[in-house]
Parts: sequence; C-alpha cells; structure tokens
Amino acid sequence: MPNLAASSLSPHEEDVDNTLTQFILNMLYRLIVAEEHFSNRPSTMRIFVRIDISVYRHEGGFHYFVNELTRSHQSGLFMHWDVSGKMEGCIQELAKVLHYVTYQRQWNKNFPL
Amino acid sequence: MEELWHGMQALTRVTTIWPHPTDLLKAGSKLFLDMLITRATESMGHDHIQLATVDPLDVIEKIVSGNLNAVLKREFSSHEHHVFSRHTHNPIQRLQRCIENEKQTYGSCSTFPQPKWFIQPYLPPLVYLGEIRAFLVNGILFRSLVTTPKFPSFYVQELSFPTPLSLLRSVLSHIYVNC
Repeated sequence: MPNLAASSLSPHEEDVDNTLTQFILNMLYRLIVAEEHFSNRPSTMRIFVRIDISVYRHEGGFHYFVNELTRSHQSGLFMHWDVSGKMEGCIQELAKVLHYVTYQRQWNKNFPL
Repeated sequence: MEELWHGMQALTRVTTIWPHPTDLLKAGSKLFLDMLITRATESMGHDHIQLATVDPLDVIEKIVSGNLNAVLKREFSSHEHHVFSRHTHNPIQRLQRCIENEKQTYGSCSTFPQPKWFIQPYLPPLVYLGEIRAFLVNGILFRSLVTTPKFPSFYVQELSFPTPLSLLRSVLSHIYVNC
C-alpha cells in the first residue's frame, strides 16, 4: 500500500521551499499567534502539541493541511508502536521544558507561561 | 462549577499549570481548533477545507446515499464515536442512539453547552495514505509518524523521509481515478 513515507528518496526530489518540516514549523508559529490573539494568554502549544497533517489535491497540485490539533492528556502518543524509544526522549524533553517554565515563572513574574 | 472555574483561573495567575484549565475545557472543541487552523492556514496564503455546522438528522441520509460527499462529525467526541460516513455500518440507527444519549447528557440542567455537529468533505487520501502525526515540544519537531487505518487499530510507520509533494502525483493518481 502506498503511503506518505517514502521508501527511497533522492535529495534532488525534495522541493526545499515546500518540505513537511517547514510546513509544520511555519504552521506552529501561526497557530500560536492565532490562539494568543483569541485567548489573550500564552498558548500551551509553545510547550507541547501534536499536529495531525494530511494531504489534499487542489488546482492540480498537492498541499499539506492540518487536520487536527491535540495537546496534553488528549494526545495519543502511539507508545505501543514506539519500539525505538523515540517517544521516551520526547517525554523527557517535555519534563525539562515544564521545569524550565515553572522556575522561570518563579524568578521572573513577567515570564509569560 | 463556576467557582471552581474562577479558582483555577486565579491559580494560573500565580503559577504555571499544565495543561492549562482552559485547554482542558476546550480539549474536544473541534470547531474552535478548526477556527485557529483556518486563520493560520489563510495567513500562509492557502485555502483550508471548510466545515459547516448542520442538523445531523437533515444530512445523514444524503451522506449514506452518496448524494453528499461528506463526513458527519460532532465536537467534544473521541474514538470515532460520533463520526458518520457513507462507509459507516448501520448509520441512521447509530445516529439516533447518539442523539438520544446526547439529550440525556446535555439536558437543560447541564453546565456545558450542547456540542455542535458539522460536516467536512470526504477525503479519500486519508483512508489510503494515512495521516502524519507530528509531535512538537518547545517548538522543536521531535517525531513524526504516519498512521493508516487498519481495522481494528492502525498501521503505524516512522516518518524519517516523507514523500515530497511533488512525487505524490504518481502515488495518488490511481486513488483519484477511482473516486
């Protein structure tokens, strides 16, 4: 079955202006700006978010689009399939970030999170 | 409930709480999140797939018969309990049961507003190609997976090398021909 993971890829086949990573990071920034505009408080997407992305066809080309956002307890982590332990590293990083923002908040009352 | 809410808000002013109480309440609000996604997508100069709120009983027969190429969903829901497409087994009876349960849960005494139903266009590539799940911590992309529906669960694959969009034409062409 074909899917979104390439079995082989030459670097020449990647459009550098339209990569998945660039789309995700660009979208994260804009989602945070949009949420902080509406909620008038720092977005917790600054700490953690799972962005679900799909592909659709429009005007002859293919485009990524964000299908869903989930955060904190609501995010399934797919730990059952984490044979390489990558998600464990992700969770450890999340723990460090939570310590960081909490201590910053104690020392600096103007720290946003 | 309102006092509890005010107490949580007061606490967030003096210390960091994660998850934020507001996020807990809005966790299943798909329409709010879709509004954020729409704003972010439009700011990139792209179109976003439009959702429309509906009365579910008005559209379910059109979806089942194939006259409306859409998926019916409800906000504040999980595990596909409130997702209806033309492939759903026994959809009309299931929907009626859902609405009965909803009336009991969100009656006139409920603290929470009644969830809305909406439709979104049916997207064949979601079924065939799957979804990318990108995990971001502190603004860093930590891990990406591709999940493809495979009854009763998923087929999950690490996404080290995503297929570039420019190469998807050949992958997807047979799917669009069949739709």
